[in-house]
Amino acid sequence: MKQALIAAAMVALVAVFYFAFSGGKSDRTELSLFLSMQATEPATLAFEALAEEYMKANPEVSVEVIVGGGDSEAILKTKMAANDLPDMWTTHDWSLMRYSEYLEPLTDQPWAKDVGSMIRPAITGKDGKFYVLPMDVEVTGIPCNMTVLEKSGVDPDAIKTLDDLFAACEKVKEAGFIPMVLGGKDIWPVGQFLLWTAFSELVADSGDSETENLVAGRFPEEKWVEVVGWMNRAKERGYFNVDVVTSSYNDSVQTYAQDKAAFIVTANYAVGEALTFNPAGSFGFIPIPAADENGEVILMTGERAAVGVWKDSPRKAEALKFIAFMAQPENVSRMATAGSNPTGLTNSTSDTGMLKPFYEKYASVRTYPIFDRAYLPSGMWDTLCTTGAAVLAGSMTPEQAAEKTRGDFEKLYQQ
Amino acid sequence: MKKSNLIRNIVAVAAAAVHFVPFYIAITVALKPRTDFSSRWSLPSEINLENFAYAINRARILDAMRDSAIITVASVLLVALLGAMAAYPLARMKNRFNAVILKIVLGVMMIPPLSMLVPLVTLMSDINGISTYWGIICVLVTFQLPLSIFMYSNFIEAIPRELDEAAEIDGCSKFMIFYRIILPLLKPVTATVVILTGVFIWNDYQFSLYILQSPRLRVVTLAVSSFFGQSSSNLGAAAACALIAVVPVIVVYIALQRYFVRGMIDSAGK
Repeated sequence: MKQALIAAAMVALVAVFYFAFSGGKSDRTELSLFLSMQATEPATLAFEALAEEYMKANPEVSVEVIVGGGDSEAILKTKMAANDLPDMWTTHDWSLMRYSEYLEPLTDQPWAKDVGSMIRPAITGKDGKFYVLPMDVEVTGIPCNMTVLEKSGVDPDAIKTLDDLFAACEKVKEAGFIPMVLGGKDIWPVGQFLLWTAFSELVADSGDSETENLVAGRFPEEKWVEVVGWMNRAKERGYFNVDVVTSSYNDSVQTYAQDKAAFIVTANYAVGEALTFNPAGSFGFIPIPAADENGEVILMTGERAAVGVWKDSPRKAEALKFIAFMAQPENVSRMATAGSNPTGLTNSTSDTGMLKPFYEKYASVRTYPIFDRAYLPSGMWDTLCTTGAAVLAGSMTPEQAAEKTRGDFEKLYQQ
Repeated sequence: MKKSNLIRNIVAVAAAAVHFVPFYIAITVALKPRTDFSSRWSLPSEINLENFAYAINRARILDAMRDSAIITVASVLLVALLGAMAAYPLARMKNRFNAVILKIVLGVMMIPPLSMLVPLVTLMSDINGISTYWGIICVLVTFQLPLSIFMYSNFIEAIPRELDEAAEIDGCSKFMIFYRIILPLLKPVTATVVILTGVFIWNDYQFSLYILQSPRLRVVTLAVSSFFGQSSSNLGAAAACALIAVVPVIVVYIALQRYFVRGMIDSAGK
């Protein structure tokens, strides 16, 4: 009996080591597509469906869709350092600043002429090249809960300046709702708030834009005090949720979805996420307000389902063929519809769902690339998030935050 | 019941309750649909198995458990076997060279593994070890071996040398002494090594995240993390995934609890 047991154990061990140390190579060309998304997102499912269709039509090619999840950025940074990148990956707003030196320029692709004017400035470098296929465009204003605004007696169309926004927040607070919900534990929503106020104060300011100074390496520290000051005042006036420092982005979306908060400090994609929690909810967005009456309201545009190709990939030609397949109008349309976003190519349309009337209403509002990607040196996003979080936690004043931001700006600008 | 027994039981029940809380929250979250905003402490009004379907179909948790099991069993076997074989000469042959080797082994244990992540990923990529069983097993075994060698060498030092000498007189070679005399005596410390390295490898996230990229080969931790993204998360599916993943560990531990506890007590006794 004992010998039989030992023999069985040995067979099991051999099986384990066989599985562990064997493995054949497929004779198909194996492409990898890395997504900075989670497994159940509609965009992930749409990418997987497109990959399946491509494999059916091209049996000699296998497209492996890798879902990166929450640590996607860390994985890609490590793989950049190791110079071992996937054949294709989604660039989540960093195609120029972070990934361009690893990506193949796609400016000469047949579909390049169709890239829309809304996304083109956000993905095009100083040399006129772009490195991704933008299947949709992330248009970012301030997402709002229409039910809460209505119950609070706030007219979202009347919000033109940051003072108007704060007046609306006061009304919402008096009506017993949370004016702005922010999941500060994840830190990046804090940076998102500063993107809004930075645009208002430094870009869309009436006749006093700081964009040239920023691009030339001159940091307007005094004005940055005001950028952070809006956040500090919102905190002091109780416009944020009480657990602003400890709640997560996911918590904030749930609060927003439950008709408890008027605005959520993230981007428009929060609406799609909120609808999964509350399909009957009524959500929308407003443009980012100006600093004063003479300024302009604006919208930010960035990458969402934007895919680039590794320039050193041994399967670059096959990857470019797959990109060409994805760039077909019907595929772009499917992808953009999955994310409820406008399409990135002019030869396709998409169903933007609940946000459609808002996109139509704000069609004439000027769009800008995301602030830090366009006007700050690489690496400043972390500074924005950490200094903003310190101000929220009360461990830094706006002046100290501005001083720290100037220091990092000057240091990173030199690099 | 004696008063001391009563207090002991109350403390035991309280400790068990504290340990059960995370499981309870995971169960309630996993059984509720995404649209259910009730407290995570409250039980679901009706059982919703959608999250378990996500865990099985989207994260392919059952495949991940198979992969985790293969990686864990192979790694633990190698760690135990190689650790014991390396520790035997280090413990028995006391000279300066071996002392230095043992100190180096101890020193390696102090290095944070992630501090050498980039060269490690580069190396694994160069030798085509990314997304392979053997690649992740090599990495995990490498980082677990120092602990194993350290524990085995300490244990072997406590075994009387007279056993070796007697075997040598009877004509055993060094390898035969190790295989026939020493190895059977290492059961207690092997139980400890198996528990420590087995749990570490089953729960490993840091290496698997960077070494295992292909969806065809993923471990349970990666399956759970696939439900978290920066702008979107699915806590219910992640909870369901984690609950399924924890079942085999609980079953194995309960089944082998007697041996593990005895092994650890014997190991401590030495």
